[in-house]
Amino acid sequence: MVRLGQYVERDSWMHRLDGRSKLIFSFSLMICGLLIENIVILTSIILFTILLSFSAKIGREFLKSLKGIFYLVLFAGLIWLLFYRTSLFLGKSENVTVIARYGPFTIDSLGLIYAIRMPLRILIAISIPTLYFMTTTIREFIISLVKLKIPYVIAFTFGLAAQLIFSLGDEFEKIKEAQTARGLSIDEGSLVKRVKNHIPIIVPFTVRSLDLVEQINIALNLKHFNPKKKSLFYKEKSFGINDWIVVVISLFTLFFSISLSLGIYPRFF
Amino acid sequence: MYAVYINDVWFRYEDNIEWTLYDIDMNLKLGTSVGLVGPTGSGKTTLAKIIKGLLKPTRGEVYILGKKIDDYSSIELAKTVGYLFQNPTHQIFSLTVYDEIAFGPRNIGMENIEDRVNKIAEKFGLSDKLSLSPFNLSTGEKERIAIASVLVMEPEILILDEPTLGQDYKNYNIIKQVIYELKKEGKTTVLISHEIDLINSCVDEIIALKNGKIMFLGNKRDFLKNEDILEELSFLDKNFNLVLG
Repeated sequence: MVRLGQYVERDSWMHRLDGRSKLIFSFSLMICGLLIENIVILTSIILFTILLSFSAKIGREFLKSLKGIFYLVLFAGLIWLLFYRTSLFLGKSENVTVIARYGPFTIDSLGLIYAIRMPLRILIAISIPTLYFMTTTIREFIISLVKLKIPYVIAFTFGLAAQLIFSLGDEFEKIKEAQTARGLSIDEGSLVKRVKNHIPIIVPFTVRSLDLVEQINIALNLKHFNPKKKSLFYKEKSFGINDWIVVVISLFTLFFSISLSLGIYPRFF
Repeated sequence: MYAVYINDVWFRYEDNIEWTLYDIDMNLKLGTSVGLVGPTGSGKTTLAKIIKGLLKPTRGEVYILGKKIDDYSSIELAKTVGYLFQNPTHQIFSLTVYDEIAFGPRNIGMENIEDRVNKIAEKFGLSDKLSLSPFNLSTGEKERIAIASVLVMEPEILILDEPTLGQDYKNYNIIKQVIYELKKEGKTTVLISHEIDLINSCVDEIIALKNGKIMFLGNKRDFLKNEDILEELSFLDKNFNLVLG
């Protein structure tokens, strides 16, 4: 099973890139997704990310792992469509056309725009880090953060948290398999029954999670782990020409998105 | 009719380029006890999970008691094939040992659950612990609960994945005795283990895997006589001399 953001080993140009250039590129694309409101550009960012995943030879795995968040994105769209007016971050808009009314719910033109824009933003916020971690190992990620002058203790904590998510994912799968083997049907019955069916999975999962955290704690203590001590890394990637190209593209993307969000349109756009 | 019939099965995990299992052709006759052996990472657990229906082969077909595995419902499969996982903490969740053992039979709609639980608890020396919390028991006792909770469902085929892993001598012998009795009763058993003593006592046939491929399939005696295969599968090291003192 391919998990959201789990590293997939391939020999591709994206896998060979330095973790720092990929990190800068990912952040610039995510900021672009946050600043820009144009739905066409937001859609283009997602399509571009999918295209990148295929060029990194992980397209199939990338799309499969994103399948799991489909309902979350759909739910976000529905919430924005019906309740966008209650958002504290929105000013009142005059030019709104009412499309339909169902009892207390009103669907209008602005709600419709939000119902498309916000899920697209969520998709960008999830898919870009997913692509990053699918092409970058946790070790590379920690090294990148350290080289970007992030304190080692913060970099290590981020790395450990990312690693733990995948380890816990593995544990969850094993527990699910063990209970299914004893005839537990998780996806059958009413909603209440389905929630109840998850108890035999949640209880051992909690126990295992606590065990895992305790084991890591003991292991770190046994090895006299000192986050203040500067670490040396075995085998580091060098920053090549491709990395510089990616950084230039990232800076250009940032410049483009900030200009567009501020309403400054340079002549060449 | 075979208990398990596997025809040209190939398997690859989605995030892997390499095949975990390839070109697997084998069958298990009803009532045989088989040892599934091989070095770590050779694909033993993957093959066992395919037989249990927890993993779907990338290519090939699997038949259980003459019926294609895809045609079984999850409850039918739980009734037919029992699977004991390596780590007992992966399945324990109930407040009492009794509920833990009764969990499977309740799921598959068995009758006389109380009698069945009491009988199996007695067999595993757990009768006096039925009202206790399984979380407070020792690892050996948890392992016995795990085996009991699978055996209580009386599956036709039983897969035991390293049942003696991390057990002390006393618990090892209890588990060994149970597996030996299962063999005598004529239960179709697949035993995954690195313990040559356990394999020697409890199985008739051997399936040896290496790097995802079957490298030996046959009688236990022929397997144990073949030193080259034993060495290749890490059961024997001719060059190793233990120097003490």
